Amino acid sequence: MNVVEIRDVSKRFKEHGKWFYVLNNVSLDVKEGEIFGLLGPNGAGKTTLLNILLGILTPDSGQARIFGKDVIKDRGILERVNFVSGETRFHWLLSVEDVLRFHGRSYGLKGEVIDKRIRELTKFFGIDDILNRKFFNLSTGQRMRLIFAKSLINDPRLVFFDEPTLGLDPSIAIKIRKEIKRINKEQGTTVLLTSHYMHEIEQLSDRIAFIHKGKIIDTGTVEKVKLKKFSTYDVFLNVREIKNRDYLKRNGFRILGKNRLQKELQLGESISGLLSSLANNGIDVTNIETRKPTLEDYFVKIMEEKK
Amino acid sequence: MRWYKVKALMARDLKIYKRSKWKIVDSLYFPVTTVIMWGLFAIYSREFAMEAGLMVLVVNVFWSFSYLSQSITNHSMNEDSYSGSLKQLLISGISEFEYILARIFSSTITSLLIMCVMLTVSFFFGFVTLVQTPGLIIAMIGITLISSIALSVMIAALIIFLGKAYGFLAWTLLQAFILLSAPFFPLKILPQVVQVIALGMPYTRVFMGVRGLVETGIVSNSLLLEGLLVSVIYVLISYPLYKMAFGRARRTGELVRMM
Repeated sequence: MNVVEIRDVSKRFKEHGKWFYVLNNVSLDVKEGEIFGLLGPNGAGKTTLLNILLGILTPDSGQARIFGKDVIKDRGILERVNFVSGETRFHWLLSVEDVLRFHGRSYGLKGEVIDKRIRELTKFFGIDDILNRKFFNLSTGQRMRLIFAKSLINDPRLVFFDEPTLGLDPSIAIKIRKEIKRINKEQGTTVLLTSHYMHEIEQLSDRIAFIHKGKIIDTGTVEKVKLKKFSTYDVFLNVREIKNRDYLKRNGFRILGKNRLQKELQLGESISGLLSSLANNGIDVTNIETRKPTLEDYFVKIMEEKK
Repeated sequence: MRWYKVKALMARDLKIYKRSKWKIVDSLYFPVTTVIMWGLFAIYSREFAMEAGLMVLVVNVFWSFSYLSQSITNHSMNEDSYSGSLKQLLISGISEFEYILARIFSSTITSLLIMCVMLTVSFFFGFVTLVQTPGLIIAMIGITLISSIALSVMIAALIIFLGKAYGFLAWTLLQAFILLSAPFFPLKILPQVVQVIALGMPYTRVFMGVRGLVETGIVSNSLLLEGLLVSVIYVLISYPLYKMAFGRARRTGELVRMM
């Protein structure tokens, strides 16, 4: 089942008297229970797409649906959704508890249910000892944990994460990534994630879409998308002694040093065949390293192509 | 219509209000000190023209009330925009109607409480008609309130339409409506064209009524009905404008820029 359906969505804005497309006939689906990564350079249209899905921006054409409903016409559907952004802010005078209580109430929670939910979430995110601290007095890490707690207050079936780790120190970023994975695995929450950090998208996403200048360039699993641009990966081998140079040359090995070799393999091709072939030719391998193309390599390649 | 959303937003507004000293000062200190100043003038002016001083005092009370009941709604919207919390409110699925309704309720409760304080203070400065004709006072408060609600919705529409930079309309635009509603003087002293405009203003009949009340203690029912009719017309115009402004802001991206 598709939780998010975007069909031929276009959006354009006028700047200095000229119209330009922020989204141009974008179509994509996010399936129930998956983590879907949306990546692209600055100004590619990622946040615009999220704003459309959140019902705060109307597309010029096309349809954006969540759980089969148009968010502009049926705002009630947003009660099953939540949103996290590194830029989220709450009223500066509200305390941690006020923020959670207000948002809980606005999703229809009340009485004991909301008290219990606040207790659980603040304990889980380690902010139960600062319940009365006002938003403007929170550190960046505490703010982020509050934003996360708030995003789960309504037990959402779909959460949008817009650059959730932007500008955070690595220890908090790691915790946040773990939490995204946890809510997806344990609660079956569908996640739509945008990030500039390629390793984050690669680490978390089941499927991705690459968006550039308002158009979807590629979509699929991370491996499948990379395969479209890269068909090989590198293997680096440390050997006891370099022997049988003819064999090495014939089989496409590059000699990098006194006892180091490099070979390019097809993605999907196994290393075991390579190792047994080397052993049969009297070459003892002491260490193996592989370097597969990363999403970052893919990103750079796409950007170079689009220049 | 989901009341829990309206109630949640009202409870939040109340919490912010309680936590913000400047808000209390802004909404209580200025109206009350204004009433005291004009009250003292009313006492002083008794020596040569009693009604004039008292008239200015009571008109000021209604002016302050109209400003409060309009501006509290618009200030809280501005605050949502400037604090960056507007996005969090809107993505919770609250409708435009629920959002403005919560603001109107909060503003009505606050401004009515302050109006009670202002009327009590003005009573001690000679506005005794207050206890002699409570029905008339309540009717005029009602008309003022409906007019201010309508104007707050219109001003909200304007700010959404023009953008965040026009947030200042929340505390400036009402002044023009007050001026054209002829607060301290009869319509006949205005040029003919302005008189026609003044008849279409929401507070004109209220101020006429206030002056009549101080002068003679009588306000005609037809004047009150006219006032009510004009204020209801403003309400009927204001909501479609607000709805249209929201729709346009969603299309142009102005709503996103307000967040």
